[in-house]
Amino acid sequence: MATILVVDDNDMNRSVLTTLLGYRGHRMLEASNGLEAIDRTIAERPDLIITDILMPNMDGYELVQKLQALDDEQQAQIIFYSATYLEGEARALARACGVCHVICKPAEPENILKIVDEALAKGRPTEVPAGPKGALHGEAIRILNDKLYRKVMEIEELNDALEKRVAGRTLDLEEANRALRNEILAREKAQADSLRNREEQLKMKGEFLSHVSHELRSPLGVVHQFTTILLDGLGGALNQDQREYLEIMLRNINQLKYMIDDLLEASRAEAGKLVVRRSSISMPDVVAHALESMTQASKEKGIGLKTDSRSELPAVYADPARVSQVLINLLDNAVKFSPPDSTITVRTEIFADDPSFVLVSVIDCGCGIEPADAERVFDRLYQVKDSRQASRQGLGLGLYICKEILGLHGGAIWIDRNCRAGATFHFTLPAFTTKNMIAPIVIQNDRLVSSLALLTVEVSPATPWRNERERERAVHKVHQILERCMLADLDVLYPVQNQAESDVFTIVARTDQRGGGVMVSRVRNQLSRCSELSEAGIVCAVDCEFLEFENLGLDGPPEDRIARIASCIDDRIKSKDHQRSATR
Amino acid sequence: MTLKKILLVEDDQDTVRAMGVRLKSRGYDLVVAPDAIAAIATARKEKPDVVVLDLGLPGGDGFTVMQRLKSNVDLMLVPIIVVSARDPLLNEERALKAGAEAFLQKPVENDELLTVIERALSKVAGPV
Repeated sequence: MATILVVDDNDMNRSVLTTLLGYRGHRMLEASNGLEAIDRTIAERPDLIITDILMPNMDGYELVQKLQALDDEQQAQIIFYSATYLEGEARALARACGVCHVICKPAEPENILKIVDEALAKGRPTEVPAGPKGALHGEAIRILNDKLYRKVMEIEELNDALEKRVAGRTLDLEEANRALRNEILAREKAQADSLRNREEQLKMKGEFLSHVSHELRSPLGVVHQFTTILLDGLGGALNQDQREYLEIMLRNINQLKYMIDDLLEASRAEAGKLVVRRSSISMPDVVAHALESMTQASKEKGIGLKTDSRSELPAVYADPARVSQVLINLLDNAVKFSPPDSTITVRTEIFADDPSFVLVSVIDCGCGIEPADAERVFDRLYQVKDSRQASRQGLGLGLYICKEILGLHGGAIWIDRNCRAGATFHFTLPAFTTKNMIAPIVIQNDRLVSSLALLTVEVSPATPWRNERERERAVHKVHQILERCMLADLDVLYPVQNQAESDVFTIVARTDQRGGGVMVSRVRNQLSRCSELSEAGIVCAVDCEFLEFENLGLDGPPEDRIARIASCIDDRIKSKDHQRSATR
Repeated sequence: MTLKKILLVEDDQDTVRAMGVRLKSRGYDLVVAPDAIAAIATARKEKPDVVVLDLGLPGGDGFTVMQRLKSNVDLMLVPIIVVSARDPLLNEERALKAGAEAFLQKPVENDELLTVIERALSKVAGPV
């Protein structure tokens, strides 16, 4: 059997031949390029070399020339193994360089074996065939040229196809880009529009709610009036049934009226227009007032109301009408959900978690509140869904309004989760303390101020007040004037102290002696120029003094020092009160 | 003794009817004007003791009526009570500044309206 070297840069082509010929019992050698083929030829002296024509670095043509330049004993039969489309060129080249055999790929195995056998049968060539060198070169160049031409054509075709594809994709991309840009523009416009419209819509919504609730009032007023006219017997005598039916009507009319009030309040709250007029108020007084207005409703259901004041309470800094509104709302709910013969308790105490707040709790023995509802009951329009309480419960705005009102006061409202029976609502309001009020103004450049001005304005009528409204109007007017004279961040106005015959305003101002003088003259000037006050014969006595804190021992933590300054101011206010009551 | 005369300026006929029943039952004489223009004319002609004034009126709002009444020598002392469904936060102060005795929001409790009317009348009659 023979030794055969297969030279091909393609692994697959090599293995086809080595497998096929290996079966025949030949010893198979492989080389993937021309140089390797020459090395193996010198080392192994193969009987037959089967070589590809087109290979990198050294092609079959060059390889054959190099092989033929070797010693005689190393000469082997050579077969060109080439692609079918090159058959013509391959045969011409083979002839030109003295190679007798050509196999065209892909070839049938029988054909390959036949040609190999023929080549081997010839034995080693005894002499190197001397072909016409020029022809050989011409043939080789023509083959390569053709090959190159085809490749160039192929590349150009590929290039064309590629350019077409690129152009196509570019068009697609440009289209997509245009669409995206339009989309971005549209979104930007929509966003700008929505921002512009949002405020407008909020405003319109508020105005709409306000308008609707006012429009609802007029016809309701008429119904209310005629119902009371009938109840008062102005439409003739009523029998007992008629009276009862009218009372039911009136109760429902009132319910409707409260709902309209709630609607208006909620729309105000949403627009940030809830007004809070804070002053120093006594919580037990407000509680007593609220309980009084609930007496009738609770009596009808046989429910008891009681108060539980746990400790000596500081005054709170709040709007009495608003706090009363919150309490009545909570009590109204408590009455609604409590069984007959139960008790509702209103407890007031100092808030254990923060003693600068007062805690108020409304405790009932009703059906309680599911933990899942505990957070949401304060949401606008939220109503507890409970088949046991199928009756109407208003608009679900009451607790939302409570939450908003308390928020404006710096307080909070929540439901007791540890409550075993019934429901307990807690809310907090800030205690009224000088310390809380002056804390923002007494620190200047990280240092505590060493002096403050204390200005008081006592408002009293020349003749006794004719009615409460007259007094309220005067106090409101003075309040407005003082607020105009004050500087935000530097001056704080105390809640007005309502005394028997006069009302006293107190302002603590961070200013020096000269600034204090300017402030006093401005306040006096503004008050005397107000015709409304002078025509009503209202007298405003303005007084100003300076408090020095140099000798207070201003050391220790700022908290303590502010507390000392506050107590110094409180002492002065108290002694001024004493002076006033003494002169009376 | 002649009956005290109340001029009710109100465009809603049902409200007029209801207030009419209520006020007449208390022994007041009632004249009604359904719009701003009629209000001035009726006030001049009838010389009422009290004016009960709605704010939303055809032919000019209640504030215009008040201004006209207050600038008329014969009528400037007649107390005006504003009864309106409008928001008191926005209108009460303005009404009082314009010279109203009181601002009541609809629906008005009967007792409240009657008390305010009586007080206004006693004030005018007081010094005489």
